[in-house]
Amino acid sequence: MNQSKVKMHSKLLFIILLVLLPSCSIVKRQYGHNPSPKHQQEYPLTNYHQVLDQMGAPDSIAILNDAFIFTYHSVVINEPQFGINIPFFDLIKFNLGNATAKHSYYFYAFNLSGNCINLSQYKWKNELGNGSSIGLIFIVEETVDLTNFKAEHEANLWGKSLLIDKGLAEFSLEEIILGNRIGLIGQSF
Amino acid sequence: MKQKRNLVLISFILILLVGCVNYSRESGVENRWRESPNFTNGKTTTKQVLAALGPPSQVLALGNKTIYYYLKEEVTREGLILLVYNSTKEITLFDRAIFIFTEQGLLEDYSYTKLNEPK
Repeated sequence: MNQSKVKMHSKLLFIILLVLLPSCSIVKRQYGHNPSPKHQQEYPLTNYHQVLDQMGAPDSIAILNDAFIFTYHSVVINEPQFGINIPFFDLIKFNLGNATAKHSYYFYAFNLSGNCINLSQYKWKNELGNGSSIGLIFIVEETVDLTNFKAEHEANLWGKSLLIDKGLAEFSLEEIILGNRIGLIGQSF
Repeated sequence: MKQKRNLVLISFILILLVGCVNYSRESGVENRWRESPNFTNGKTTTKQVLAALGPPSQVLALGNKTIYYYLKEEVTREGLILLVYNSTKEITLFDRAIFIFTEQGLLEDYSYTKLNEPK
């Protein structure tokens, strides 16, 4: 009698599992390298030559009137998802997801002689949001809007700016080439 | 006995129901700085850098100095799709080179992205 009950329960469990077919997805994204500089513990950097030597080419450069800035920025995004699917009843397929971004940011400011006047290091987390969806087929796709991380990089668009009619351009060609306007050049995030 | 065999067979088929995804994309200038000869601070000129690497992604003015900035972006995506578990990993790497020249057009300093320290 007990054996038949166990069998019945196993069958029932199997049917429930089949009916509510759960599914998990892990989406991981990484933008850029993390240089993890040794000088933070060992010795301070005093000029831009040492920063280039330790950190490599910067992700972004900003040029001001009497200073310039190098920034290094990398982001890792983790997006776990969970879905429940009822076979043959497409409308109740359900997907839940959330995304977290871990930023690593280094900032170095120099005077025009190239001496370091300020440096900072930041590491922080962003909750990029939660999302849910109802779909017909489960696929590995983000449920959180990450379009700002997929933006075209200005450095790759520079050639296009040469095609813009100078009279219609928001910034003059001279300003673009000389980098006179204040703003980060390079990665846009 | 037959039920067990069927169960094993179904499990085996389910395990085999897998898919793989692979994707890559590149943008930016041609990456020639990784294979180019060494540049020498104080000797290499703007002309030599342009001849070796081609036109830069960006040209910036820094006071009396000039900066050539080269950028290559590479995106790779890999995924494993199983019946109840999916996993994808997308890595976007930026390979950069920066060259800083004096007013006279001589190389003052240069640097590349440190590629050997991935997260």
